[in-house]
Amino acid sequence: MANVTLENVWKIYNSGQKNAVEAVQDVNLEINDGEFMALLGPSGCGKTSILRMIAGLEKISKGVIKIGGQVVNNLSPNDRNIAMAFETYALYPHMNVQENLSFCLRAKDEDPALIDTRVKEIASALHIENLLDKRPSELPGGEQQLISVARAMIREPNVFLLDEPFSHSDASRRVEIRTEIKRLVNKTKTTTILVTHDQHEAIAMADRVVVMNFALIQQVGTAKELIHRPTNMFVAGFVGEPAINFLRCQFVQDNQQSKLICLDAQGAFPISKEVADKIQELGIHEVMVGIRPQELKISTSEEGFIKGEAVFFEFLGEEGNLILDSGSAHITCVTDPYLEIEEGKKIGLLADRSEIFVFDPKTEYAICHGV
Amino acid sequence: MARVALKQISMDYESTTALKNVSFETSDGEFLVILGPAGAGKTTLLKIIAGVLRPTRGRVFIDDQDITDKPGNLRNVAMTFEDYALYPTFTVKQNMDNPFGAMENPPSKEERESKIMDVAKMLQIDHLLDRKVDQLSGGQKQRVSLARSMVRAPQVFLFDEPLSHVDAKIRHAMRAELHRLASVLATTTIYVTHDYVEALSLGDRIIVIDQGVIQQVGTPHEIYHSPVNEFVAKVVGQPNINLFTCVVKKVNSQIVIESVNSSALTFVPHENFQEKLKGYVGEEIRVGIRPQDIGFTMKPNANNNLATKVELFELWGRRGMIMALLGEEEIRVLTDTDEVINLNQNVWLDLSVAPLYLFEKSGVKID
Repeated sequence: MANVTLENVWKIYNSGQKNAVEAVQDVNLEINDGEFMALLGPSGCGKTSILRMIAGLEKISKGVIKIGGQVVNNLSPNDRNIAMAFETYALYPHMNVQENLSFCLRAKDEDPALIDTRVKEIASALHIENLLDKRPSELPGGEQQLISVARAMIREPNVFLLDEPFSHSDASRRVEIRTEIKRLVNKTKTTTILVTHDQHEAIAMADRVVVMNFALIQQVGTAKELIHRPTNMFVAGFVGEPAINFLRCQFVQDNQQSKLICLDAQGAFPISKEVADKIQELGIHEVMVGIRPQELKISTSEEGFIKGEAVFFEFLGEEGNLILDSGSAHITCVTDPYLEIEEGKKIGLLADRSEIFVFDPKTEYAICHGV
Repeated sequence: MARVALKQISMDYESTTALKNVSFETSDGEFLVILGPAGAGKTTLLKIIAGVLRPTRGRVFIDDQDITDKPGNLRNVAMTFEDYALYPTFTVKQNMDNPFGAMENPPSKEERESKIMDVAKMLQIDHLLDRKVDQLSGGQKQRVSLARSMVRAPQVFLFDEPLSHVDAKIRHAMRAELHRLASVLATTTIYVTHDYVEALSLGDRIIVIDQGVIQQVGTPHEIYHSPVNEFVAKVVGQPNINLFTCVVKKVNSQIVIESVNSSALTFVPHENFQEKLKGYVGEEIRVGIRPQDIGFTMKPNANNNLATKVELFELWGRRGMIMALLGEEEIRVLTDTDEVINLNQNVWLDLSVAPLYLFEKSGVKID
């Protein structure tokens, strides 16, 4: 068990050369003992470089990484007591599952009885007892992934690293594999770091999520914070599905009731004096309003903050998605799956004002959450 | 505009059979989705319609005309591929012009240009016409691939997993675009995917296929609510449908279904099932319940009398997924709030209102 600390960590490839790339810029991060942390971002954002530096597979260009309070910059991967499960499993093809799992314990000359117990324990925790005498090549991708996890965790590491672990398993199995891994981590209370580009996965599994883009941390927070309090437009857009609706709006100040009037869509949002003051302080006239599709409610009349026409409705089993055209904007609204609505129907949309976000379109930072 | 019909199509490869006796017919202008896992035979099916593959047995018809022996380039169908299959060093315009070359009597240069322009405008790629394909983003390539298939105004569109390489965010927007396009063009479309969300969203009807055999043909609602077997029930929906192995019992002249793993998990099936289940007394059956059909509370009440322990909780966007343990039985519940629920906490489940999906032990629906 250990906490992991990153202090002003940089990763610069081809340092000092013309083609130098700053893959990770000045990252500060505290991952608590026993915490499940996800590093989330698009490809090339620097998340895998961070993981590899923690693992010791990549040199730290600048800054300090500590595991359990100990600086590990110059420790070899073997001396860090971490375990990593890779996207590609990296199992030994000529060994059966039992031999794969016990390999590192046998290499350390552990007592055979102890090895046997540990293999049984981990296999039962991940429900793979019946696969022990199979070769990896006889198993589907999802099962190979579980074995790769079991092999990493059997060493009882201080820190467990997962690099895009689910990208090879098919969608319906993915959720099951994910729950098996999460259960194991819950039980062992091992500090775990997951790298993924899949926001759904990060939110489902992690206690907290680090959102990265362009080598920089954009936000660190719980899933709920990222959903309800995104610090900027990137986080608001990257987290959540279907994607958040962004609407360009004109700020109109009025002593009675200040408003944000949609420029592309048809509609307007009343705002509190407090919000109006904040926008005025910034000296801007145009803002970007963000509303998550789950927050939009169909009004009983044609009136609402936004007015539009139903373009099409998707029945998706657990929920429905309604797409509207409003002016030149397309708006997505999550509904119950059994909504009956004809195409072309005029619709008003409402939302809880506390869930309407306002961003500065130049800096892309949030001005306020709630109007 | 056309109707496509397949009659008893089989496809044998050297060691395997890719398709077994597949028959279906589209209606004119229908958007038909073929849904199945990798290796189900979906792409083989498309290639047979396109004329790229010749079936081992069976016949292919377009508008009642047998086209089985007609070469692909003389069939008025257009296929787009998962990897787009564009010429990377050609411009967008050159790529779009290419299909005309395969026609028996290609139109004049002016006609071709004006058709290319019309389609490019519709798909909003008219500003990209002189760009080379290798300079385009994935979403743009997708649109060019679509545009190329549209210039010949084909009778039938064939799509092979067109969105599988598109980022999740764009996928939603591309679905919307395909919807708009389909309603404007009203051209018969056969669309292959492994993604049930795409299938439910786009299909007028869905064909579920597994290991070369059609499992079910139906509207999205039929596939989701009345699956004919366990395979279909599991193909659509996330989290996966709960499936319990149960024994049918008769208690005081009433049929009761009890889980073999947890005696606390019992169901009294609805009246119309009472009669059907009489023949199954003493036998094992499988009971399916969709995770969002299960109610739950944090305290017991009159309906929620099934006490379970939370084994795992995941936040699913604005909803939550609870994995609860009842004896040996795991139950997945999709909540409609994003309230975070602690592990090992007790929650009380209400299964009384959930529709039951009943299957025989073999997996076939009890009807």
